[in-house]
Amino acid sequence: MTDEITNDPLEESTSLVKTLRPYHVWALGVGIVLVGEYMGWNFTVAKGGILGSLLALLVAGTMYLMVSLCASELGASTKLAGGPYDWARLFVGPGAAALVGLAVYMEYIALEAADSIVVASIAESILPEIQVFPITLLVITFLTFMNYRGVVAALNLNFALSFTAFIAILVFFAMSITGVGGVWNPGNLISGAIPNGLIGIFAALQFGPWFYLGIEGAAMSAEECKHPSRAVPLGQQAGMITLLLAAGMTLYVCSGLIPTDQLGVSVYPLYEAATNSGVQLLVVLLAIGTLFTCLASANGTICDSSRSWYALSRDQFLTPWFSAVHPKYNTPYRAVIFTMPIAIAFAFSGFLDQVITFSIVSGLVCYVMIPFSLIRFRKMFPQHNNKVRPFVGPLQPWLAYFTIFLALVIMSTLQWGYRYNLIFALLFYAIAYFYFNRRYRSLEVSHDWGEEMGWPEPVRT
Amino acid sequence: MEDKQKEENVDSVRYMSKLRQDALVVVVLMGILFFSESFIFYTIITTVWDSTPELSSIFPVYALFLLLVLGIGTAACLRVYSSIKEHMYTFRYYD
Repeated sequence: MTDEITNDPLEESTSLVKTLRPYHVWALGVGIVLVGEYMGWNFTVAKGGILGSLLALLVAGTMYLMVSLCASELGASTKLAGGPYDWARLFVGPGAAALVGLAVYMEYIALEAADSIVVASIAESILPEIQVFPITLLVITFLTFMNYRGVVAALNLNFALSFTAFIAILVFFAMSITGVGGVWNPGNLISGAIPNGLIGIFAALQFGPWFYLGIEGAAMSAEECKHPSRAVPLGQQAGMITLLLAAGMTLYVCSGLIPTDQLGVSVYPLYEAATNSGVQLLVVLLAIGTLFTCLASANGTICDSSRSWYALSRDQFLTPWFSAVHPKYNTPYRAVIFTMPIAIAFAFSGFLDQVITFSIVSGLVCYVMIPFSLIRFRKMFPQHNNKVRPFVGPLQPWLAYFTIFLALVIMSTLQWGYRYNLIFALLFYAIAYFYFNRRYRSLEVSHDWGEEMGWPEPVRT
Repeated sequence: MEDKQKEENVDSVRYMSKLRQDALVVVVLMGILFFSESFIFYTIITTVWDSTPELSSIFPVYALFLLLVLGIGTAACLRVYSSIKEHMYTFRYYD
């Protein structure tokens, strides 16, 4: 029995299979994000030193906890595969929906491309005779095939990969604090506490999202969950706590094992810290963790980006051709396959650092729109009952307002170093918003809440 | 009334056991989170405190966000637990 206690029209109109459990939701969220602990987060150290990184970890962690709460409430209520896109479509309007749908798609496709390249680079470092590009293509093809075959198989793979990568961090931290994981040198922290002053600490916030970027995607599996009102909140919150743990442990071990000037520019900081520890077990464990977390992230991003594309197509923002569900595997297979050429195009563009920054801005656009969707949802449907809102998040809508504030603050810090990327990305999304808002205005007034969601009519706001 | 009827039709012992398992996962995660975040925060701040005079002026910001992380995380977990407990019979979570 799934969560619907009334006849849910979605059950009849779509046929995505409903089999996912909380650990799948956890695996989807953590699988996408954990790669951020293995690489990328250390740019916070380059900007603001160890104290800048600590503040970025805490501020971004607060924002993502609140984003997760918003996503849990919205995901458990709507139970739709489009996630942030569907929430904006239902509670804000078509322009905002298209904007969020595109932002989610860009955020995840760029991550998929980056992850695949890193996997190929690791393979090349182990076997120098192989080339990066063919392996990148092979990784993208293999993971697309896994997602084509079925979401359960793809997310079971993610669970195994993510769990192993998380255990690697946990073991490293445990060995470090007990003194058997190398010499943790406090001098590294003292020499690199605030290399660029207070401005540097503030500028470090721009890379804070690396610790948690993409966790909101866990709620996008709601339509395929057996019990979304349990699986989404439990899986998402467990995932968020896992990431907070991993982020703190990673900062601790890396700050004590790698000199700050090297940590800020390291490609694989956790692996490098393991190498500096001199413990062979940790070197092997963290090498495996790095490889696995990249695979899990790429796998999860295919799952989420294809669901966003599928939802855009299902609601006629794109050609309906992409909304077909596979008769045997119950996956949106055309949307899944279509992630391949886009990811390959990103992977071969040669400007990945720019693409990744675009991914961060896209994420921050979502972190403004997700809480805004929740604020609108609370105003339109103030009643708390099983039918409309089976999971009621705490302290809402105040946390939603605070989330928007923090997302805007973090976005504003991109002016230090990525001003043109920020302007270009915001311009791109502004054009998308006005284009789709004008073209699909009719969709806004065509909601039949009873038929589409099984809900009563909303309160007029 | 409806919930009572549904409660009578399910294996309550099994349901309570499964609920406790869900709660255990959350409690263990929160316990590790409180320990690790406090430990890491304390270690980093005390290590650099003497050598970084600017830190004393911005320390309240760090303390505020640490409290926010732990406070919001705890509130979220408590709400997830109470939501599962409230709806487990209605939606037959553990069948």
